Amino acid sequence: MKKIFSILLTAAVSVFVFSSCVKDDEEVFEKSASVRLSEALTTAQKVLTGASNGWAMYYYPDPDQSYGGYMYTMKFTDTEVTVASELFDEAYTSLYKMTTDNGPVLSFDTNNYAFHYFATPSGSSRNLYGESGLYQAYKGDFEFMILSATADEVVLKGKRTGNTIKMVPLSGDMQAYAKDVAAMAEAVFVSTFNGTIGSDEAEVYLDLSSRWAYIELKGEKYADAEDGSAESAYMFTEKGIKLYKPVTVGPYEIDELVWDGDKQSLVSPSGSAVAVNLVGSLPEGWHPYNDFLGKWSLLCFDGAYTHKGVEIVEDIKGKSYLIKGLSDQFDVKATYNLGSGQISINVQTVGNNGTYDVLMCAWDSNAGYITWNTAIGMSGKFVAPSEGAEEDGSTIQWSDNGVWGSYTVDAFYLFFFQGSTRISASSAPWVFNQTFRPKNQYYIWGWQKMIRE
Amino acid sequence: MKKYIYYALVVVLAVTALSSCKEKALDPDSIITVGSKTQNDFDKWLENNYVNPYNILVKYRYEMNESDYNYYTIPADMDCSIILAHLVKYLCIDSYDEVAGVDFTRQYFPKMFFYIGEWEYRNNGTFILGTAEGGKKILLSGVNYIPLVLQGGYQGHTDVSEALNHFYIKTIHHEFTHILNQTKDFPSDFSQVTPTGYVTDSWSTPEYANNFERGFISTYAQHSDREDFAEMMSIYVTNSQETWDNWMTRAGASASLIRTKLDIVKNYMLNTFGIDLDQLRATVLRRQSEVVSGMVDLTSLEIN
Repeated sequence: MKKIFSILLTAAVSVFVFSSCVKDDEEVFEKSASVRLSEALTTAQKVLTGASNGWAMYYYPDPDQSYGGYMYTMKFTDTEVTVASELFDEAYTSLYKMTTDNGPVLSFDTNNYAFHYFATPSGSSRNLYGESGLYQAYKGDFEFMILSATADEVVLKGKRTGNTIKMVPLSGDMQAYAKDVAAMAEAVFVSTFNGTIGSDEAEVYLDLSSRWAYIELKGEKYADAEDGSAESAYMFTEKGIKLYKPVTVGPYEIDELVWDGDKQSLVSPSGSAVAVNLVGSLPEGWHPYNDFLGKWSLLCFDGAYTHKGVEIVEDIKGKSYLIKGLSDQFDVKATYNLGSGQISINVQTVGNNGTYDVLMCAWDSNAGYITWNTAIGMSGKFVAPSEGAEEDGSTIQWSDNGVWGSYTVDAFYLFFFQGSTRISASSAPWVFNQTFRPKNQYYIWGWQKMIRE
Repeated sequence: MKKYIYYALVVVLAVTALSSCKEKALDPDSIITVGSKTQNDFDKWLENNYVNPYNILVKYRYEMNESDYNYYTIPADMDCSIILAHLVKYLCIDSYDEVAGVDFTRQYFPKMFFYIGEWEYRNNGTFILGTAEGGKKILLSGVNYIPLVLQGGYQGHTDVSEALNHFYIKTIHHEFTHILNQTKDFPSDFSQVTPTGYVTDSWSTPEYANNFERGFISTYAQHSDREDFAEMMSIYVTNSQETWDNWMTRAGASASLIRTKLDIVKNYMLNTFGIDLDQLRATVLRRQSEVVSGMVDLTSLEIN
């Protein structure tokens, strides 16, 4: 027993002896981690402030890039950053800092109206951007780890999204560039493209609302091939569109496509290894945002079908409208779908009477069913007057949006809600105008079409 | 014999072990570096009005480590932060200075404020106005709405001083009460006034909307005795006697419960901290009306 003890003791002591004086304790790096970190920050800041025209930032909110990407342009001084974007007309100045809470980090640490848009959440009432109901905002980042920083390119990684965000130096004015990109985003309104990628036939679909591109190669050899199609978030540049990351489809790698406005087509950038030529076509019945604006007569049923005046005005340009005249108390919100070129009205909260939320629900008046699922509603197709018609006669033809399965929305019904509990039909003043429904003003039914006044 | 050899070996080895290492000279440079920062005018104002007199740090710039990643939020706007810092100073810090003396404020007032631009929204539609941690830190949210609040009408709050209290200032008094309670606990009689009325997280449900009739000064007061105490104190000092009396009328038979609780709060403040709650209220209300009538410059960064 003692012997074992002695052996163990010897072994233990030997471990100390042989390990205690390792001589090769040379440092891998010449300087301490802290010194290297602060040097990295100093270098990065020099790079950021060094670009005389500022930077273009390819910004993607959301960990899945669900909203696509947006262009920001920015210029740094030692303490401040001025940010312009394709979304706002003005540039805004705020503070930024280089910090070390997660490796070298660039943080936009006081509010910048342009830059923090995708990070700004909202509750049931509207936030400073007029948005509501987005308690996680668009999950946009405003703190970034600096992966690399050179005069030609800065690569960042969003702290919460993990998205790769690249910045390249600008050669011209930053606000002008942001406007060019905004103009491009407005110019590309076609969503379906057909043509060729390399030597293959291809179809590309752009979801213009969520800024995602779907690329598919046609032809038999790609029919069952996994690599015959690819999808990616994209954003607009001054030339056309750029994908979040290059995608491989068949034997081709696609990163960027140039918009040719005259031909409404997407082509490969000059010098690209892969020749792309895709010609866009509009879906049937597509009409631009502005066509829906103005005064209309709503044809609806109030005992007999009659026309009543409403006005569709701009809410968020290119995205949504307010329909005025339906009620003295509230406006109804409608959205514009850029891809289909149609307008839609969905179930929505129109206000709060102090105790209850007021919801405009969708109603199938024939079946007698009501829903408050906000995906359900009606969509309106713009129909231009037929040639030689006597009256102006543009119309918006409304129909069920197809989400409600076997039921068909043909009416809207106002209810008081407490949380998700339906309390009762609404009462004055939270009702539609009398003209639409003289007796029971909490609904409008027989909603059919709108005729240009 | 073998045994001795072993022992001898052990001793030799041990001696070698303990003597073999030479001490290496320490690197004269610390491995920790401190970044240098340039102070802007607001930083200087804060140093002069918060740091030097009270040792209070106002973090108006976003820091990951101070924020709560359960929520999506944004940094505070600097111009809004300047206004809020003036408001907190004028309405809270200076009020306590005036009534309880500067030493009281220095000793108990929270040592750190962290400002964020938006409210912390929950997915059920409610949002957080502020939180206090460990009696030291107060988070104030929704700072970017200050101009709208001061303008009147934000979220239906037309009375500006009521709105300021609702969104920011009451929160500070509320959280400060928690800090005082953590320093010296409130008497247990308080919890016995409406012992069965506390409903924790159900306080916001329609069932408990009639808080006055149930003997509580606010819906949130029904959460727990601790919150009830903080609500009593913060709502009392930020509202006029007239408003309070109206509430007591609404409370009807339960008004006596609220009165009993108020007496306990008043005694606690007087006996523990030497603060006359009515005097504090008079001071707070006077300062409030001075702010609302525009007598206080909320944006000046001049250093006296």
